[in-house]
Amino acid sequence: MMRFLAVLKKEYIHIIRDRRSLGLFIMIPFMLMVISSYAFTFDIKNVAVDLVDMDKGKWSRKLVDSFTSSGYFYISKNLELRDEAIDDLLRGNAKLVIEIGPDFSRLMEDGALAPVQLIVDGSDPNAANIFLGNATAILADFNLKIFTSKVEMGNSMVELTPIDPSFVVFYNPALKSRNFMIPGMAAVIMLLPVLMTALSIVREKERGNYEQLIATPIRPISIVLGKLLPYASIAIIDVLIVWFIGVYWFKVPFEGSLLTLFLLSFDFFFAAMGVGLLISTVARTQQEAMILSMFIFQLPSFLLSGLIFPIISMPVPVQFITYLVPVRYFIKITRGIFLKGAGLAELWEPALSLFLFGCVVVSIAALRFKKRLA
Amino acid sequence: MESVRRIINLIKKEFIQILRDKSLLPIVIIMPVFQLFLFGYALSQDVRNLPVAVIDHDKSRESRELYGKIDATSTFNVLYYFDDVDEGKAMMDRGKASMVLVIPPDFSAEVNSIDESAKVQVILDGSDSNSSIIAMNVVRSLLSKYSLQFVEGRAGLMGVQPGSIGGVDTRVRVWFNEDLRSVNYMIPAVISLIITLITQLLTSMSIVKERERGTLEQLIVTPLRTYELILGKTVPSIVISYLDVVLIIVFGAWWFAVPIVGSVGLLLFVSLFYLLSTLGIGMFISTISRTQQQAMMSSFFTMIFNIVLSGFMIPIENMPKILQYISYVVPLRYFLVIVRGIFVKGSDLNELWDELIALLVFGIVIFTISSMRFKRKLA
Amino acid sequence: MIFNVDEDKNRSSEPAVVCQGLRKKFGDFVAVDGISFSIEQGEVFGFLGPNGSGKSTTIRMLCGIVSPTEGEGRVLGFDIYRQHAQIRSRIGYMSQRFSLYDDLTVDENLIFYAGTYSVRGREFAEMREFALKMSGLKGRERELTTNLSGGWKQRLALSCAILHKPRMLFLDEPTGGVDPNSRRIFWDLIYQLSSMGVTIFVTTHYMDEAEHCDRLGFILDGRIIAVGSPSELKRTILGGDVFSSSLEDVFVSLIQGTK
Repeated sequence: MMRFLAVLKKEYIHIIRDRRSLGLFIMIPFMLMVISSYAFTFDIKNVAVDLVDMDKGKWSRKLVDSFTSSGYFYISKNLELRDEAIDDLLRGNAKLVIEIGPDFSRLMEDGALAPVQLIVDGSDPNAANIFLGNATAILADFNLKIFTSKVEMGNSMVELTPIDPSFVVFYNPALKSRNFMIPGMAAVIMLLPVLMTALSIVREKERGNYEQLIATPIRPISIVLGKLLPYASIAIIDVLIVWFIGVYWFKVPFEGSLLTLFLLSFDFFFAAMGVGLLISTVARTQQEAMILSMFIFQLPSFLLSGLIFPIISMPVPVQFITYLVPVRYFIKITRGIFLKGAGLAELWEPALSLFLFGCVVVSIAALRFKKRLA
Repeated sequence: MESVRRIINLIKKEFIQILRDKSLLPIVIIMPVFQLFLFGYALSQDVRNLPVAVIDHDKSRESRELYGKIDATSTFNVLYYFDDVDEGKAMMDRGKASMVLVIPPDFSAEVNSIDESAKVQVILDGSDSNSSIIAMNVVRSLLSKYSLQFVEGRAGLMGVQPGSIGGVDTRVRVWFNEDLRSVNYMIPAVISLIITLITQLLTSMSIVKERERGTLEQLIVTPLRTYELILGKTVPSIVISYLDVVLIIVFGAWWFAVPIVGSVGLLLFVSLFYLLSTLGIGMFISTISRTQQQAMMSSFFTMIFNIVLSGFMIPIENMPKILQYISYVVPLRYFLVIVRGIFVKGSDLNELWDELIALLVFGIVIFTISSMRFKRKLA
Repeated sequence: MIFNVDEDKNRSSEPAVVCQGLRKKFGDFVAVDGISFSIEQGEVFGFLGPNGSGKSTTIRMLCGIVSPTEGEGRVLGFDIYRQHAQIRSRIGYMSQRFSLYDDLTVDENLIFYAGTYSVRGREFAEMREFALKMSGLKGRERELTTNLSGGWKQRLALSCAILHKPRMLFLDEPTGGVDPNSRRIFWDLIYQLSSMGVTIFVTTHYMDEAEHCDRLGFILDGRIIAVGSPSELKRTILGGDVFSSSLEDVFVSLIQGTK
């Protein structure tokens, strides 16, 4: 027991002494969180639209009004000719061009089909899709209103919209991106301590202290635990930081219980640290450890865990791969706890998956560990 | 000249070390390809296959038509059919459904009538706000269009000629990247990212390793001058990252059939401007890092910074003003515009002038400051 | 004799190293507190002192790795503040950590260091032969340096430092962590070089090695507490029999004296 504490203490001293790493340790999660939370707004607003209005009649005004009143778009330039608009697209000064032909109002009065040309910059397909989606939705609504008003004119009817949809958003009613991102961040932020654990073990290997440690009467498990706990404690602190900043600064709703969050965080640590241990048994130098952990753990965790890109939209084979990314489950858990007030009852599946994952990984690491000693 | 020979001598040694370094090579070769595949196949921000639970209280031809249309989109996948809305909500709680569509019991009667509205309820899981917004738009459009069908019917019933109502005929034209392929957008971005990471990493690591080993001291004592040392350390990373750029262009363009509308030569030329900045940052990192671990962490930190604030994934216009201002000092922002411009829009020097100047200015400033700091740290 | 510095007609009779009042502060910590001494050309001068006494800092100041806070110094007639370039091309340096590239082979290390000193062609071929023979690494040119044991690395590092036929060598704790046999071989090499006219400045904390030097400087807490040849020091400080006393006794006496 004493020896275990000795290892623990030494590890803490290491961490505190390496001020620069410690600073980065704390800074990175913090900065990441703050910046991402502000930056990751997929919400579209204030999209610059160039208007080429060759009509300038009553109907074109109505059309433009319906666009601008939506709040998504604003008319950046009002032009006569298309060329300048296209040039703006080329230079990225405008994202969308609305072109209204000279006969527009006349055609609308006559009750004929009046074409409107939407030209979108396709270089960012995602944004283009969103713009188009919004624009066509606005135009579809516009059409509907025209139809109903025209029909209305004939008879005084009140409710003529055949389908009157009401939209309800659960869990994140304001649809704020940050409520989506921040719980996810809690998961991603814990990746750093995992890396640190692996590095610290590998560092001892590099320096040759490893053999020294093994030669002492300390049991391997004490060594491992002694190395894990400091970083686990840092990870918990990180989670607390995320929770605190998320809830009190960013006003992310927290519907669930802090206790559940902690409990399941440990579950995740178990799995994640297991990966860290595994890496430490494979890597021979610190550089290798960093690179391995980046490839196998960090990058996939960032990109394939559902943090930013929805897993469900990925090709099926890739979806299978995501089952191997522990962060995937934890993101479900954190989002569930933060936004849905989910408890163990609802989250037992991902919780169990994490636990099993952890068991498997730790066993493999332990086996490799033993092999080294033998 | 002696100077040149000394620089070449140093460069040769660097290459020997890089080629022999078993863990560095994977980063340089595997990672670019890996990222290519990742972004090419797996990652797109298109929203697809969102699971939907339908609560159909009407069970009529019209209601089936409605959710049939929804299922037919690539955005949605109708997976669950329940009789009780609470079951649908439970699915959402468990994260198994992104949307619940509730169709009222008199749906078909109401839509086919003259004066009634069918109140359809759409419940969305807002925790994934990006997908929700997109999903909402799709549903809105779809419902509006579906509504139109019935309006025409009603119009007919009231004696108004459907054909005489007219309306807006929306025509869509996509300029640049007509097929709206995500790949075409992401590949140029991946190229930029890789150049950034590799040059920064290689430069900072190579200097820090020398310091850790004690050989840096040895180099100071030799006739090697500071600028020769700097060149010797940065040139290998330039060469390697250029090789990577070529690798990605060839691989990306060929495998994923990403067209390069503009000139590749211009791209390679402009990359040089950008490299000034990344090399400078790499050097700077080496002056603030005493160990390899610190160097790597710092490199990755700046990488993340770069990714988030450069417009790599999220358009800069969407960000709050403060962050937009900050992004003005992120060199990658300008490089991304240039690379994407060349790839997708076929931009030439004319259009990219502003960004080029910005890059040049940045590059010179950063590189100079870092070199001065480096020199000071040596002495 | 592969290179004979004595034949260099341009050599003046100035001391190889002269320094006056050299001081180095790192923040508030004074590593070297006003050192003055000189080294004659061709001699083997040893700097003796415990760890942390300022030996390495002194060498670094003389080689131009670190700039002094105060004081003056000249190496081979050149000013240590302003004439770095001239000094660097004429001296060789070997650091505590041997400063070899572990991931390079023996040959690659030699080629690289030769290249930095612009030693090429026939000159390089000759020096390479000499270096390999001197370090006993002939036949092992293509081995990775990391696979060499302490003694071999030490000799290789020395070889790399002399490829450009320097007039003076600065060796900072060159025998750290190396077995006694290798240390003995190493000092044989130093004598060999000295006989060719190379001035050698060595720092060490091994008393028995100090016996091998022509002259010694004892350094403690950043200050020189005694300078002289081994026999001089034994006579003056201990006042006794030169043969039965050791430098260790000298040092102990000096320390006690300063207390």
